[in-house]
Amino acid sequence: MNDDVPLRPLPAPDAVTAGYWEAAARGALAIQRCDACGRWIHTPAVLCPACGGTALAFHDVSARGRVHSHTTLTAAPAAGFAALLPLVIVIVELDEAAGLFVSANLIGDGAPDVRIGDRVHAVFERVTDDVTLPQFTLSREDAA
Amino acid sequence: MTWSHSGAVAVAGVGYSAIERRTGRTLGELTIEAVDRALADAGVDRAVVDALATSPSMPRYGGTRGAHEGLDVISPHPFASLLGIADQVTWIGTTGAMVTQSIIDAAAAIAAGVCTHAVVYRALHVPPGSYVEFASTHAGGAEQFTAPYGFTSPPAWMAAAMRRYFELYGYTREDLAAHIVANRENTRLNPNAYWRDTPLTREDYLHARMVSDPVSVLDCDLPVDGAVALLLTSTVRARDLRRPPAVLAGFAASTYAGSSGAPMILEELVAGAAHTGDRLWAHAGIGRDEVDVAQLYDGFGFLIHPWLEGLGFTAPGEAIAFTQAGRTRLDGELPINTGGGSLGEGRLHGMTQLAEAVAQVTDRAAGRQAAGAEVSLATVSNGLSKSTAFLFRRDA
Repeated sequence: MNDDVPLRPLPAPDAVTAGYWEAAARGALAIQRCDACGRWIHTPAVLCPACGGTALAFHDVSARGRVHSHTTLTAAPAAGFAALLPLVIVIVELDEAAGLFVSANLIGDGAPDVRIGDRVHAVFERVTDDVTLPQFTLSREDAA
Repeated sequence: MTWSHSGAVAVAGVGYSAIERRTGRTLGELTIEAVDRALADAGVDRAVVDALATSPSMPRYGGTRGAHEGLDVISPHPFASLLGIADQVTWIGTTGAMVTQSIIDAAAAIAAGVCTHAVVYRALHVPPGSYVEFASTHAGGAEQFTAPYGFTSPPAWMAAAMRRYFELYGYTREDLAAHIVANRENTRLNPNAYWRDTPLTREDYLHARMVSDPVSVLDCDLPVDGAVALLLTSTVRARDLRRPPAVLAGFAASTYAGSSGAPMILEELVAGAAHTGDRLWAHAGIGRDEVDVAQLYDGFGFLIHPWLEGLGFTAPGEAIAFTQAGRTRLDGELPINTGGGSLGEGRLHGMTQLAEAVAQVTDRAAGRQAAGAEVSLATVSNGLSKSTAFLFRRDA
């Protein structure tokens, strides 16, 4: 890494969130699910918001979904984003459950022309030796 | 259930400090100025004040800002000493929600006989640099799922909800322009408004600098240095003071929890507004059809649309068309944000909506007065948990 280039803010995993980032490092999207009631939970929680259960485990998911909405950043919210602009942010509703949203960047071909409802899947962007970010890219299955 | 103390508490005085983009004065000085002006407005002085309430916080996005008492925040316990009234203050409220929750807390304390004259204030400071810059190299807690993506700032959250609305219903920023321009016309009639001397055209809006598409700088309220204070007391006491009382008929606090994977989901904003509205009409014993004038929260200009739809003033997808048709202008069927709202006054976190709602039912809005307004609505925040709504009525 070039030390002169400011990085985007990096995640600081902790006991609650480590499972998410460990999965990303091996190229998988993992989401918490409540053992007791089956509710999918993101962002990671300590207590299930549906039933109060405390047995919450990460499970690899399909990593596929639809774009619920999107925005394109044209101003950098931190110095590390200046070189990434314009940067597309997507809110993705995962196939696993209605209302299960994950926010990330949309990268790859066609990103600037994204529309709500577009099919996307996760890809994994290694930003440092230690940190891999789940991202999304447009799926072309619908167009085929 | 209708509030058993409906009508028993009123706003008796309103005070604004100087409102500037960045001032050389401390936030403590500005807050004292706002409080003294609210007291003078009611014709009383500090000797009557026995309660203070606020949200003693500033918005933070990473970093170390917001730490200095007197500069970044004005907390009520030290502020009581600063005002020289610590010996007489017997009740203090602090809230983790937006400051307008403090109005509910103070009204309940007055109704319960815990205090007699409560000052609710909000003081906000603009730190050096960009207001929403995420100033940390690492993000913990829930921010670790947004900060690495540049998704930490409210303009970006709002932009995603606005974009979905546009794509679902076929609108563009051109359709929002009518409201933004009319809102600035209202602003120019409001002596408390930061933007009162600055005209705004449709072209200005359409060419404004984009922050997070489709949210431009002119879709956001402007961070300012300043403070607003309201004096609450019983309606009976208020009738003996200098101004006519703005009678608090009822209020509602939202507990509608949104999703955790994204900060603002369009459908949740509308559902949260509906949840808040259902509580409000029941609590005040006043129906939607009785509202004469509405101050809808517009920390972002687009937020008025989920409120209009959730509160049932328009059907889903029709709020922008409603504001285009002139029906929300001063001479329309439902005047909205008659003083220019937060977009016009600057970022005062809902105190704008309350102060204007008070002005409208006490005939104090001068050139922007909605004729004969009997019932005045104010909503604050986005409809999700911690949002609030209020109904004021003219004193009988």
